[in-house]
Amino acid sequence: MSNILQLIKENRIYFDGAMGTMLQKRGITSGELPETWNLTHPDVIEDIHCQYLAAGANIITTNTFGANCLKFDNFEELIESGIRCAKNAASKFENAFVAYDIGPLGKFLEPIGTLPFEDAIEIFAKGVRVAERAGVDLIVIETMSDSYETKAAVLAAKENSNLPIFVTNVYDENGKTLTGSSVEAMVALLEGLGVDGIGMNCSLGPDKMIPIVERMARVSSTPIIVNPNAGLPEFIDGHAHYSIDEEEFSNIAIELSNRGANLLGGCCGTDPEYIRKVVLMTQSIPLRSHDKKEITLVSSYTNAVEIGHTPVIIGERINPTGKPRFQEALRKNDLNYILKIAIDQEDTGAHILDVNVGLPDIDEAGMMRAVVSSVQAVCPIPLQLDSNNPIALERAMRIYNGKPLINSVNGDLETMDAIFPLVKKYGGAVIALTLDKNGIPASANERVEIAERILRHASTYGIDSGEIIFDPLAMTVSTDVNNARITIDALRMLNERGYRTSLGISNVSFGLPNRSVVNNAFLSLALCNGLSCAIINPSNAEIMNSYNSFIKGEIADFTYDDFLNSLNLDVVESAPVNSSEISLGDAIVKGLMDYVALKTREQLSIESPLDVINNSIIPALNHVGEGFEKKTLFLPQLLRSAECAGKAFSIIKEAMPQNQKNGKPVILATVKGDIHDIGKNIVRVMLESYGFEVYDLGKDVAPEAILEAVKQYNCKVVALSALMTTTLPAMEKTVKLLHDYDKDIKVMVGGAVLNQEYANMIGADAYGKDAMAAVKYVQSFYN
Amino acid sequence: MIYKDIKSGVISASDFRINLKELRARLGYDFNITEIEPYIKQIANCATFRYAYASLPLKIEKSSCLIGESIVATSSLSTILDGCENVIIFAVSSGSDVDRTINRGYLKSSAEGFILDAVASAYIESFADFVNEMISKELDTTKRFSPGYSDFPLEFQRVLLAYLDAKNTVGIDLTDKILMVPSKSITAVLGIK
Repeated sequence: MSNILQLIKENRIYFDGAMGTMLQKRGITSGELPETWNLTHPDVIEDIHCQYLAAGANIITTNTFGANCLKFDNFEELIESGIRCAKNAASKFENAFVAYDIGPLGKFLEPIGTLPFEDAIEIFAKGVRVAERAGVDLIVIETMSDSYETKAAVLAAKENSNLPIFVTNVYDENGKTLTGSSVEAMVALLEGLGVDGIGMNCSLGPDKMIPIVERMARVSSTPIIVNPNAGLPEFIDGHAHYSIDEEEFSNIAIELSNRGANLLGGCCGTDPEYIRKVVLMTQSIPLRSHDKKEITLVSSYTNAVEIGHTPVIIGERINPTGKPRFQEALRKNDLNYILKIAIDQEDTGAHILDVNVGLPDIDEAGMMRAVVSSVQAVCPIPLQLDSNNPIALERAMRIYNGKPLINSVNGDLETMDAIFPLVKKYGGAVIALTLDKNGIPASANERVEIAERILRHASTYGIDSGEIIFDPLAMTVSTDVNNARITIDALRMLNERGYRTSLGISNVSFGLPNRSVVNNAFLSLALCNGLSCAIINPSNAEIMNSYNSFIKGEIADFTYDDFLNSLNLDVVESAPVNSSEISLGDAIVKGLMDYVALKTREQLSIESPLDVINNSIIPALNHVGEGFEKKTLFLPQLLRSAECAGKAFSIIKEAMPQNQKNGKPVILATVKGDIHDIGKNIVRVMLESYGFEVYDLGKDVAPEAILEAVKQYNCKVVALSALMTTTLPAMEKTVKLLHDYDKDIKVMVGGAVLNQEYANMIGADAYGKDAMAAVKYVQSFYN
Repeated sequence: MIYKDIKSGVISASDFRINLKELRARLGYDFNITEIEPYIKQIANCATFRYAYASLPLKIEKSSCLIGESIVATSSLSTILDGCENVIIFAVSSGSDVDRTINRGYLKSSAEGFILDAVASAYIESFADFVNEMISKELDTTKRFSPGYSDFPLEFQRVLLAYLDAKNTVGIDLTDKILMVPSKSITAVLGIK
């Protein structure tokens, strides 16, 4: 028998149609699970496979869609018998291939849902191992509506077999999956993982799939599979009737073939007659070419970014180098600090975010994994995983939802041999620095030679030139002004050869005054010489202006001489705008964030930090708090004021000697089982703005973890929050555990379900009816 | 899950309006619409409003309801459904992007997070009203009642969502503590009179 991968290069290949629809015709009842028929009616299953093969299908998919260990204790038996049925059928036909069918698990993965990524891989792997033993020709992963679950299934297949892998996803009419992945993002992810066929099935009728096939064909170099439903179902007497008959279905199949579908079949509502007609109508239509597309894509779980077309901005700020505050955040595991930087960069225009968390005294691999998954939970743009530690890179690449950029390899064989196998396994485009063991070459020619060497080595791993993005290395002009020329020459040469390029722009001005002016000029020069990726700080408005001007076509011919001129420019720092007669207190009460920093600094120049707190901030907060209690001010205003106060405090903190810091600790948590933390967060902001040292343990916190924190921080006042009645027992348990440990620990409780009565009932020491009440209680505790 | 009569689909945010009364109640003050408008747009842009519903036979015995093949002990629901022989179960959700947007909001500032959260809650409630009306145009229905209201056990959520194949039709999953993800999701039961 010939190999399926060889066959799809030469012929249009046909999948079977629906299994469920056929089983319904054979009498399965709505309460029965289709997979159980592999054991109870193997003859029927085998017969259905035979019917499809007789109709002209080449690939039959086993009746194992839901046969996983979450749904069946006897999944192994169901898979084995399902494969046996299919193999018996296939043995009677020429060129018949058996595909082990994998459907979704029926649970969302973290962070959207609750199933851990590694658990999902293991569940899929259990099935793959059974199929591998039983002997199939390929694996079909189908009806997947979540990119992350798709990746888990593909990794399970790759790690437990060498079988060809075909993947089809479910798209809506806008070309998006249920969890929001675009067609292009799925193609990037799946081609990165190296699957052998990519496509779509279920949900839509064939007509609605035409535009999706077109989009897929534009970016995909992999054979495209289309298995549509027979239109939309209508239910008559409890039976589904589909809106598109065989005739119409096969006519649309012609259109699908012309637009690029090389593998065709059917999903819900189709039967052997549909397949017979599709084969008849499309057999002679020429195949779409599988030539490698000259497109470089990286992706997140929602969208793909194309590199090499419009220049893209890579945000550089998630990096601890030379940033004490960032380093402190890493050491304290303060992920929120990093997430804010991520969001800020996305909001100001980054297309991709660089993530570097390397510090000598932290577990970089663990931190990389944590930061990548947290950033992906809030930022829908692709990430550039930046580390020289292959273990950290592998951890991050494994759990990354999408196809990342990898930063970086270089001409050194050892580095390439560590990173390229990871790229082959998990997918990714790679930044390649044009240096090697001997350092950074002094000439542009030598840098381009290293680039060519890297490409040759990548190809031995089966990594295409489109996956490599060269960085010709920007070096500071403070040591030699000629450095910029060498970099730009190398950039232009690489660009002329059709390669993608990237530069860390700000390196050029290291050690110079007025760095921003030099950086702007260098960015303009690099863009005019064909730069594909600019690694910059997008929060810097001036550099974004340079980028935007280039995009609008306003700077098309920025020359090297223009760049040299920028080195001599003197820039006058613009003086801060003089503000009106508004006081710091007013700014806080009115929530005028723009004025707070300025006013705090003004105030600090005339009185001591403690006086600023006592004379301006505390009275303002009290004023707002009273207004809130009297209902003349409302929660959003209260929160804005609290944030302004927080801003003022952060400025004062810098001015304050360390030993005068208010060190009064409070522990804060939403109890086990509860994920509602609005109330708790409000209380935190208020407590922090009154100067307390708040240890916020987050939400869904186990009683034992709260006790641990009490011991660790030697803190005797704890505030607990809960919103749901179902989590009150957890709150009671926590109070009891704390009081059993030390009856002097004061526990305040709050949240929508609580009142004074409940608080008494569960043994709490106080009921915090709102954020102000919480502050007052903690103040009274410490007085 | 192709044997059941489940109607499902996506509705564009431009086809219905957020209920401002609901939003005022959630924000706790009579806001100026120009202040809140950008947040409403932000949620509308990231939401995908999906619905699914199906009808099931109903039998009431004393204070228990037999809905489809599941028995639920609840006197409050039995009272509401009294006299009905069938029910509609329905689920709506605005999708996981909304949760992400709210989380981003909280990271930027508590006020922004709080307002986005309230807007998203009011939005999904308004969408539930819209779907409710869509059903009630064709069928004479009772008011809607959700698992967790009064003595209607929250555990019924599992049955309802499994029946609607909600993970695939609407994109709703449950945690072990029976919380719906995405969080801005609503399920309910309506009696058919």
